[in-house]
Amino acid sequence: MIRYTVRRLLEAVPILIGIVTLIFLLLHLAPGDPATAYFNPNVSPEIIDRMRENLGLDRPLHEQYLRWLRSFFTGDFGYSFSQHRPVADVIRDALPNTLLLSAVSLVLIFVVGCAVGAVQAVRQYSALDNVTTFVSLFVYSMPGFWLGLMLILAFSSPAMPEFLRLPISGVTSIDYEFMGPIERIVDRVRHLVLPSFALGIASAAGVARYMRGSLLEVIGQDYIRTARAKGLSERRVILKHALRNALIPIVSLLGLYLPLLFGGSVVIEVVFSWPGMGRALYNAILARDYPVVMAASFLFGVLVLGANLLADLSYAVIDPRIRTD
Amino acid sequence: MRWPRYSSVMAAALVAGACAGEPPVEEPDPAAVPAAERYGGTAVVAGLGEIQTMNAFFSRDYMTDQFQAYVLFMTLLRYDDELQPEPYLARSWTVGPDSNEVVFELRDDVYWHDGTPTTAYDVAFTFDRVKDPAVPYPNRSSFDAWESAEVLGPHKVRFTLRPHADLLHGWTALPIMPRHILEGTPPEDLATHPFGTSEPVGNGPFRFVEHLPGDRWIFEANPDFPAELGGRPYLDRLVYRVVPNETTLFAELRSGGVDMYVRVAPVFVDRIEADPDLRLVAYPFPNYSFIAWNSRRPFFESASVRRALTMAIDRSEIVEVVRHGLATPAAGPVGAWHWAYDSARRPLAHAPDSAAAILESAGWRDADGDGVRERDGVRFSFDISTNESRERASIAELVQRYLAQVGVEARPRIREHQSVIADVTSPERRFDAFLLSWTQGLVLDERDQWACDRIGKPLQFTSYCNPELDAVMDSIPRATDRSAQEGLIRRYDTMLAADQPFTFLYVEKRADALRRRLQGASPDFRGELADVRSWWLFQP
Amino acid sequence: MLSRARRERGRETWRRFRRHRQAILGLALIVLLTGTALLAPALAPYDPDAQTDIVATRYQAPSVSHPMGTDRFGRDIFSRTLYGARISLSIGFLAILIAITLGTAIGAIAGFFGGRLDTVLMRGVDLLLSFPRLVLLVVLVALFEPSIALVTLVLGLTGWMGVSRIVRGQVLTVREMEFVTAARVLGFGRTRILARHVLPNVLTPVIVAATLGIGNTILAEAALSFLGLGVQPPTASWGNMVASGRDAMLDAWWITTFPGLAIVFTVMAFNLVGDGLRDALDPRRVA
Repeated sequence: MIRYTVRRLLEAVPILIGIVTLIFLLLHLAPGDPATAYFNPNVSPEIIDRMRENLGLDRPLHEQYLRWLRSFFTGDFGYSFSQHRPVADVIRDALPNTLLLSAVSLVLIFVVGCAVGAVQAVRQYSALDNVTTFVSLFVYSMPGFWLGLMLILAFSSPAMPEFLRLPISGVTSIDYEFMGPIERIVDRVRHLVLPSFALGIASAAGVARYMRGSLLEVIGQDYIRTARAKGLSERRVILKHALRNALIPIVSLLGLYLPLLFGGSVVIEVVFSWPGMGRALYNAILARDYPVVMAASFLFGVLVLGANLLADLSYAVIDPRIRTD
Repeated sequence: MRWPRYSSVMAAALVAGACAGEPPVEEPDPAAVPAAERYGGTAVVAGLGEIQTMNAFFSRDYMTDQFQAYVLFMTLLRYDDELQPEPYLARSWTVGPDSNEVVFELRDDVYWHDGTPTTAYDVAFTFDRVKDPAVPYPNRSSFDAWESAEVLGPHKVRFTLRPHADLLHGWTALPIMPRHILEGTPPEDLATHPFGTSEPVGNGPFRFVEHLPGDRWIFEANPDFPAELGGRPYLDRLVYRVVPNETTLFAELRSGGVDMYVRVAPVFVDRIEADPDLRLVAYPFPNYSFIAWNSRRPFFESASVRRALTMAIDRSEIVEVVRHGLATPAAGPVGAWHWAYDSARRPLAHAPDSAAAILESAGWRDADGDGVRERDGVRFSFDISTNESRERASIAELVQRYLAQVGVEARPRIREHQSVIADVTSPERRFDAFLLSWTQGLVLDERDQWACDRIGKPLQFTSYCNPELDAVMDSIPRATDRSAQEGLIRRYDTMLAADQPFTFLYVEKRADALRRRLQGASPDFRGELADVRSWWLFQP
Repeated sequence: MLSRARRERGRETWRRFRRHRQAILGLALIVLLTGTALLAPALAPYDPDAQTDIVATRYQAPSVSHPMGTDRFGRDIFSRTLYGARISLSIGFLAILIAITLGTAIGAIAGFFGGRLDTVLMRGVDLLLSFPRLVLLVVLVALFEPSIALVTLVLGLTGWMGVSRIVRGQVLTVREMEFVTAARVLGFGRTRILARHVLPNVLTPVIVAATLGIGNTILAEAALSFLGLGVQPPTASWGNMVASGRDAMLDAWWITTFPGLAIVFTVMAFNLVGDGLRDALDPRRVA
């Protein structure tokens, strides 16, 4: 186990270097550079050239590349060209917002998804099963921004009663600083409702379907029949025996969803004005803000590889039959 | 937050009125609220774009410039609504007899928000940095004629300069920066000083409170702002929020989360005008949309052909369809916002038949009947590039349709913004035609675009050369007063309108949407925030 | 001998699939959609790009003459939706085709030949999976222009990694099976064994993944259009129709709603069919 982990960690290093290198090459292949963003008829071209010089963009490519590689290993990610502040600060401000939204969405996905899937399995072919299947499939098949915008328009509509209204953008309210600690938590939770729903609901529908299939498969197994024959109540059969085993393959799904959530969904963050990594990365690409793009991609790679490793390890722990080759 | 006392008076009146069984009191009138009761509240301004920094040396977009110049800092001068300079940080100024020297007398009651007095040393410091080639101050060209600064006293500074028209223009847009905080930083490192993003110290009507990147900037009223300039602003707090999606922004406006939606998307105009809680303010703005023709291509060599292309394009319909009426078809680069604008002048008429006739006589004929004209074996077919903005993509589609009607094939190529800029500014001019819009400065200086000696430089896209125009452009800054300038500017406008190196499509009417509770705000071409000191919140 | 067993299995699969009512519904819907896409020129009442007097004809609510209303240029949305089916479905099918071809090839090679090749290929897959897909998409679209071909290519090239993992897993299992050993003993070349004996037996999860993947591709195209990087106007795709109508949702809801519903029902259909296939093809699963 330890050997496996160490080996995976060592393998991660060339992968991360590969990611950063690939990003560097791609970004420099793309036309334009950070100074082009200042293009404006009132700005004389000499100013733009000076900007390029200040940012070190006129140095040869390999020199720039080595400089960045070195800065990664010293932990200094450099300065953002478009935000005029350290890249570490950019990430420090954006990442927690993304992690918060992702964590809440993840909880939503799995709690709602598993619950709905379990209910569907137990009440298979009932009206409830069919209706929830249809609804969840419908929501799963919607373009995310469409769902998000409809939620925004609905929950801010004058027709919506006051107590049902929810914040439709941002992380906190304008007068957040004046709020007491409880009020602050409530405020944050209220701001999380719509974006996490929009982000997670499609995946929740997917998880529900997996859970339904998995639970159905488990229910058909012999040991469940044995438990029933032994006279245990249906509820105990399901909750104590079937569910636990049905959840095992769902764990592997976790690994699949994590990359989607770590990167931050650009679309959801733009629609809900959520200041997370998705938007930061997207804006950085458009502005050719190389330091931010490279640092964010590097971080993303670390998070995904780490999450995959954790998922594989936990899978091995849960099911001792799995060998870690 | 203190609500105006008017509300409690009003509430009492309503209750009294209701108890007495009287008919309801009529609409409370904001004009009736005395100045003393206007204090309090938080106003929220929101737009699509982010404000990245409060460091004036690196600001590059309109909202950022406004927050620096009107909210957090002070400029030496401001523009009144006739585009004439009026005192602000500078109490008065005298221009020397030969116009080669200006002495500014500064106010002595202005303090930086950390208590340090604002002095002439700050002005000289700001000027030195602006002129320093190591600092890429985007508007440095406004100070090309200014040569040196000399501090004569704590509130007196003397500049030497070359005589120049609109010589004070640069000072209306340059916020003075604090010397005591920034002097020690090498110019190359000024951009990344935390002063810009997390610790700005200003001297303007509002103080910095907090910056949440990607989310909002928070400012609060400066109680020590000079009484002569109005003293403390009415608002307790001013917040700028970035909301990068138009529908979300509109939803926030509608539900009261935002008090001012800056540069409204035209599609919401009807709804805003129908909503009793909202009002729309629209005004001519120095931003025009255009198609640049690469005159190195055979199609665009001659001015008459370019005029024909302009005549084939129905600019009024574009204004109606794309901007929902929030624009004016343009004749040339001088728009209605400019004091020298000649309202009698009309853009080229929309006349597809005349256009077709001109193309015929220029030798472009459709011999093979495929709907596209040819000449000497070359088909009149080209790419028209633009960026991914939906407004511009729509214009490109419409232009394609209009030109097809006169036998010209324009293929829209929609590409990411930076790619388009990289191609059009390249020395090889890797484009046929491109469609863009931009904001002009309040003082016209477009030599980078049209001058013969700038061909090959990034901004001379069209490779247009007209020595007569060059002469006019050189004379404009030398004309010392407005009446002399007016004739020159009009000639400039007329010549460009005749030659159409660009097809000038329309000049934007910028529209801002405000909630009615936000009083005292009258956005105009000087900016939405120019009168921020007189904003107050009406809460009946 | 092998092929008859396969035919028999095929019939059995179809029988199991038929019992899935929802899957049949999905299949019917897909056939219907593909049919309308192919017949769009015949079915559309108007030319999808036809504009007359824009100001007079734009933003019209659904009516008899325009059953789905008109958009901001006065174009008939019903016709554009029909033609948009061609674009969206083609992108979906082709991108997935690219993804499964590439993924199957790489996964099969890695799984079958094993050793260093396997490690290198799979670490490469890991690298690409750890890549923010957005960066790749935006940069590639910026380098070249957004177009149907580029969108298809990019969606295909960013979607093959999952397939390769599935295929590799399957190949690893099948590789040890008796009939493969038999083939090897009989002296068949390794490539031939891979192509004719192993591959046909690993395709079942690939088919399932592909069917489900088409739905995701159509949704991804819509997201790209939201960012301005998808299929560009005047060509109509469902994705860019939904995206372009997003500011008019309050007043002209029909511009987003009808192409949006088209996407929803198409993606639902592919998901139902995919589910049905998964149940039908895997004899161990309880329906």
